[in-house]
Amino acid sequence: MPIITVKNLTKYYKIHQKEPGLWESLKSLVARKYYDVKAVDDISFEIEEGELIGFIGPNGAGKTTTLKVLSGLLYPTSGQISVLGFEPWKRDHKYLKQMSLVMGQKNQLWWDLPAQESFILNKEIYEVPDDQYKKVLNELVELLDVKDVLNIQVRKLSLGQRMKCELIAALLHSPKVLFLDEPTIGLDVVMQKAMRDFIAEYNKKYKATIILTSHYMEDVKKLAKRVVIIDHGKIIFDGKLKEIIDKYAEHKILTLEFSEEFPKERLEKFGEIDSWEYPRAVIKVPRLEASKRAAELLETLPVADINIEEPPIEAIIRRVFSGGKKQEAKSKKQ
Amino acid sequence: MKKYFKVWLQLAHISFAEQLATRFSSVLFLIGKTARFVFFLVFLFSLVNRTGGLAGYTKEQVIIFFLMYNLVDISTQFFFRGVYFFRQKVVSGEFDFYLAKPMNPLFRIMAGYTDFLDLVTLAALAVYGAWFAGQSSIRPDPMTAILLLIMLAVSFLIALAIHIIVVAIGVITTEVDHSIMVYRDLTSMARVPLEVYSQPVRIFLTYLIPIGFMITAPAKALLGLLTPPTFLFSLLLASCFLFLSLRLWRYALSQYSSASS
Amino acid sequence: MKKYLTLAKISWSNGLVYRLNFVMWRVRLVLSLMTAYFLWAAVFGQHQELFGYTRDKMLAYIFISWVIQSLVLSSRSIDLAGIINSGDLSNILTKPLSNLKYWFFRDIADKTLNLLFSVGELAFLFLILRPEIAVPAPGNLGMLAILVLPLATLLYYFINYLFGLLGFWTPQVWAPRFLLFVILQFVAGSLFPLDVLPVGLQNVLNWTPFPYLIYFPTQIFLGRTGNIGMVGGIGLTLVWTVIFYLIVKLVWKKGILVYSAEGR
Repeated sequence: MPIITVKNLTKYYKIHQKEPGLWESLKSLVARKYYDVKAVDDISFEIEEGELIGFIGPNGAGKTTTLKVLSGLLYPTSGQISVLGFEPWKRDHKYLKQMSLVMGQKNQLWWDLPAQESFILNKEIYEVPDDQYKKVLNELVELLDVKDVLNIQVRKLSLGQRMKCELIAALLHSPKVLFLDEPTIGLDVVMQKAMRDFIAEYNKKYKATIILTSHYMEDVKKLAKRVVIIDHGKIIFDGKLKEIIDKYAEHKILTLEFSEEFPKERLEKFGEIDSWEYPRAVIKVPRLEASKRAAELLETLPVADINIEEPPIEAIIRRVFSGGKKQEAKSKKQ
Repeated sequence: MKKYFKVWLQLAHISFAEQLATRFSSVLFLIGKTARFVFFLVFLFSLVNRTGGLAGYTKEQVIIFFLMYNLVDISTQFFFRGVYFFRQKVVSGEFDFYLAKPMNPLFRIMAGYTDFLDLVTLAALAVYGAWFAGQSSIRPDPMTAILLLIMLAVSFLIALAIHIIVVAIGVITTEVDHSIMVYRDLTSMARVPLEVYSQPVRIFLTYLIPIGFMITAPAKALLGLLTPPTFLFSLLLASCFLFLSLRLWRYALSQYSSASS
Repeated sequence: MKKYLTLAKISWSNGLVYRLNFVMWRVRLVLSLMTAYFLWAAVFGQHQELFGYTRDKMLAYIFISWVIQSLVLSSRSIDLAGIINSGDLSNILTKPLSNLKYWFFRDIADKTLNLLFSVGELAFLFLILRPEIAVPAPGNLGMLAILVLPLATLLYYFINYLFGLLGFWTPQVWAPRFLLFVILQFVAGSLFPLDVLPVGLQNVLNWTPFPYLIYFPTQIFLGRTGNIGMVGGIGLTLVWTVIFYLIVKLVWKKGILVYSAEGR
């Protein structure tokens, strides 16, 4: 039984057009012209308990909107959604007690008070029993290593410490479903890693179902086995990360180190040269031929070292997006 | 001088454009300010119609005091409205830009947010005032008129000095909003003749923080109640106060440590 | 229920952090009280009785209405429109909390603080000014008289909350609020009792909810309403409270649908 079911979700925003000029302004006082922005356009997916899913897509793709609908903040224009058996937008308190939404840049901690105070407040709001509260709080504080900052005013904490406390506040009630919107945005590299490690650990330990949106590939690479790619409000891909690579990565990348110089043309017949600077060179070869060509290279050229890699996910995803656009263009022409 | 006028015009133009963009709000504000005036006027009329006067003044004189209060209050707000937005400028660091430009920063601070809708209110006030004065028994002679204009100028200078002090405090402590609000509350005490208040309060409002003076002196001039000593004193007071405020301002600048991000 | 009490407590702590703000607010309130006091003391200099009040009764009105004001009109819900526009409302929406109750309990903390200070300041002023005021006498239905205070508080809360909800449709909430503030200043009856105004105007005002915020409660405590008047007035206050409660519920439902959870 999937824990999250989304069928044909569509969400429009109504934006009113603002024309410049005095006459237009006066007109708009009487009759406003609205146009619809399709933030999410007929998407469907299912998620099982305990999955950790990455939603990726460029800015404005609809990932955040999807999360907001799933957490009950936004009212879907059409479609059926069920999370833990509830319709999110009804905002049944029973549902809200089992889920948590963390938005990267938003704070829920009270700025002028120590984080501890906000924790206690959340404990009461979510009606967490005393002993459970103590247990969970201690575990989280251990995991995130923030024991010493709990009694300092939040405004005095560093960004990293604050983010950690925000996470604790969001997890005190041990939510079954966790929505993370751009959790690593604005953080430095060290903090990003800490954040990812924590999310992975939390998913493993508490078996919470986690949906994570991001436009950083690192987040997805490190965390999500299953990936949903959204662009222009539509799902372009939903499946294992490995599948994307297999499906969309046409090449493999060979990085070579040579022991002696030779004319460039000799390398060209093996594949497309990406870079050529003695003693190193990088070439792209078709996936299926990768091993064969590598073997040939080793025989015929003075190779000192060879490395075979997948192309970076970013490049693959970019291909997926531009592939999507090509599809749109094709269907528009028709 | 011409440069200042041109800059002021441009700033006012920007401010006006902003108001057009928020028409709804601007109209509501206009209605609100008008309502505030009308309500208190209704109250005052209801009061003095029954009591025949207040603190030794006749019915008409009390109303004149109130009208003068509005005249001074609206005009000073018109010219110094920027002070209400000053705190944000200091906190954000925009104030630093003011200091770096070849222009008196005080001017930029205060004159940067002129609200042209105040002219509407002023015009309406002038019309009503003229009608009321025409109806009343007040007949000013040329001498009174001249005195009135001089006292209005004095009021303006005192108001200027007070606003400079508020700004100076804002530079030193970034606390502007409270000082300005207290200033507004104190001036609103002068909606009625100061004689209403007990001695200590009156002295405080006249000499210590000459707000009371600033508001009621022009009214007294119009009503022919201004005595020569008071007149001279007011000139002295205004110049001293202005001088002090400018010293404070210079001190504030020397203490200024600009806001970090 | 416990969660809202905890909320009130934390709101109280939070309020104390902004000490200067609060002190200045109290200073301004005391100034307004002094203004009203001196004005009426001066007015009654020449006269024995005006508008149906003797000097001591009028001064009593001024003081009592001032204390009631600190209970009924103090509020934190002014933040609501800003919270909606910044998207921070999401923090409340995603939790098992009622937004209506949330802000009410935050207001309670604020009102309690203000009430305590008002009483203290009043005691202090009495010592200095030694005004001769009439002793409040709510009459036989003393218990019922107390009832009017929570009702007036709720009524104002709903009105204020309604203005906060405007945030769903526009970021420019300051202007309508200003208008409300101006109206309240004169119509609710804090500077002067509504009896001062011409009868025609009073009749019009009695059709609005405003007199029931401060003027009417003060009248009860001064013993000027008579039993029938008191019960009738409390009934009307109840009616207004229910009306605004229903409007608030309706507007909230509509607002939530347009909420975009955006803004930074």
